[in-house]
Amino acid sequence: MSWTAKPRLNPTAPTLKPTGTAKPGPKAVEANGNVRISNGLKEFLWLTDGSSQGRILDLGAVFQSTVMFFIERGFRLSTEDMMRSWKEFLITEEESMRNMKIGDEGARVSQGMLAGKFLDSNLQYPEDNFHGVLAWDLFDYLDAELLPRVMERLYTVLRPGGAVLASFHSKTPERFNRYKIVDGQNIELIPSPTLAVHSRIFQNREILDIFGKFRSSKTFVGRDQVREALFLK
Amino acid sequence: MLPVPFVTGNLRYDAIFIASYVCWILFELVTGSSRKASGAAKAQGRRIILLFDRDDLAGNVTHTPSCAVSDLAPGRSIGIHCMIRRLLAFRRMAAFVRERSYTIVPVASWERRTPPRTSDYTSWGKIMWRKPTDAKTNPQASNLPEPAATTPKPMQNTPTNVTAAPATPAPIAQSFTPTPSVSSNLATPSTPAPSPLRSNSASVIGSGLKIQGEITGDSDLVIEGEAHGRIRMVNGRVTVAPKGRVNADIEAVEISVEGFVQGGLKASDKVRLGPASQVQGSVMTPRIAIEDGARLRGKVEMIRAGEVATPAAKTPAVSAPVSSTVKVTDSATPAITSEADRAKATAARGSGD
Repeated sequence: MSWTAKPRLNPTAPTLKPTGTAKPGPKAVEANGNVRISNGLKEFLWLTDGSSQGRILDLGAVFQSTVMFFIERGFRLSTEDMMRSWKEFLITEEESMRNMKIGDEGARVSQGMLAGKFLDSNLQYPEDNFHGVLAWDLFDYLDAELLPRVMERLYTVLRPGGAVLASFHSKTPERFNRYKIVDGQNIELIPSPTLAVHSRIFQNREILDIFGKFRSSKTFVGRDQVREALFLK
Repeated sequence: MLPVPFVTGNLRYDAIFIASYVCWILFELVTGSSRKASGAAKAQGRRIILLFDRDDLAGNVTHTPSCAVSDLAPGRSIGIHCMIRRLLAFRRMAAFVRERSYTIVPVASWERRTPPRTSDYTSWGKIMWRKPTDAKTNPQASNLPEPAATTPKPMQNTPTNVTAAPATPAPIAQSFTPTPSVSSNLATPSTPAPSPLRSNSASVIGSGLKIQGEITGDSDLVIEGEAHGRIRMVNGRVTVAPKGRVNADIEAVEISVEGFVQGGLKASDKVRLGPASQVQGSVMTPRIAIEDGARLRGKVEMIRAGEVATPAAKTPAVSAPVSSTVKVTDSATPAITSEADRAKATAARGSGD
């Protein structure tokens, strides 16, 4: 798998500079211990920068700074908190199963059925719709049955040449975080109530298998041993 | 009339107190704002309870019963902000003392109180009226965004809206009556001359009410119940209270969501999503404020200011009376079909444009 090198015409383009009200100054960034450098985000922005009126899908929690970050750059942002939707879906399903009578055929469910049912009402977007997808702390929390289906759906909604930015832990994380974009190369980790248990640690080969349909990849390893993977359709 | 004794024996406290009191007198002479605030309290027949304890003797007055704060303790540094706090507290307290619209409740205890939270500081500029006895059962009343300051909006302080129980439809009917047309004010048309209080009030869909159809108008709208269909307040502001559930597209100048909305939001000025808000649908607005904890499932698109209101002016038929489309049902009515609405919302969200 080869990374198609794209000439970086202007590495100091204004789109990558922290601008606007949602971005604190460098001192504020340094002062906040939860802020980490994201080379994956920097690369992601560089890849999606050329698309005018580009559409971004954020699969994490919605934050003002993240929304404004993309809006100010001319993107149209769609958000869908997939982890929370999945958790609520499971709660709803559990509740409905409790109310079923013994011997009811509907009570026979499998993880695959749940995954299919979940995707019937989630990630419903037109094909080739998005230029980029952000999925921090998502794929290594998803169920084994749900993950390939989600990847299939993401491949469908992504435009050719679109990018997916995902993160994978190299060790079991101590807490569940949500991610907020601070500026073009920094993201802030927001500790959050645990929505899902970290399911497994993926090896690099497994990550490539997950993104099997995607054509190229790039991986960045941060100081916190979190791998940011960038894949192109 | 001095509301509390001057001398406490603590030179530092006394000096600060006298200085702040003098500042308050000067401030009051210039602005006279506390007199206006007190007048507003009397007009509503409200009384303010003032709590006093030994900290208060040092000039740190707890100005509301629900916001009893005391940050000036022995040993603590006295800063400029303490001066300002005391100044504001005394300005408010002395006004109520002067107008005799108060009840003094002595608190004889030395117990320490918890220091104020940040949110308490934000409420200093506002008068926190004495709440009804069952006000705690209506948390949305206190969570409405931007509550009034010295001249509170009747929509947020009118007891009929705040304390209306679903079982007693009469108070709700004061704020919403199923008239042939849902006018902007939503007041009963038989009312000969609405009071100034009513004319300035926002329309309220109280808790326990379900409305299905199209709601149009020019004034503000607060939704504490359920609304299905379409909402267009071309020149007004729509607020979805924490318990409010809306399954409709909303168009307004300003939209503030604290509850649940399934449908598109189009605002010509701004959209605000509160920390407990849930929105499923697209958001089109020139400005957006999303607080941490808000949930948005849909796309966000920025438009130019006033872009939403323009099409409404071109299609006057939409804002015509909608008598035939409005149905008001009580809380006992079964929930309105959700599958079709869900499919509609999914299609709208999935358009991606």
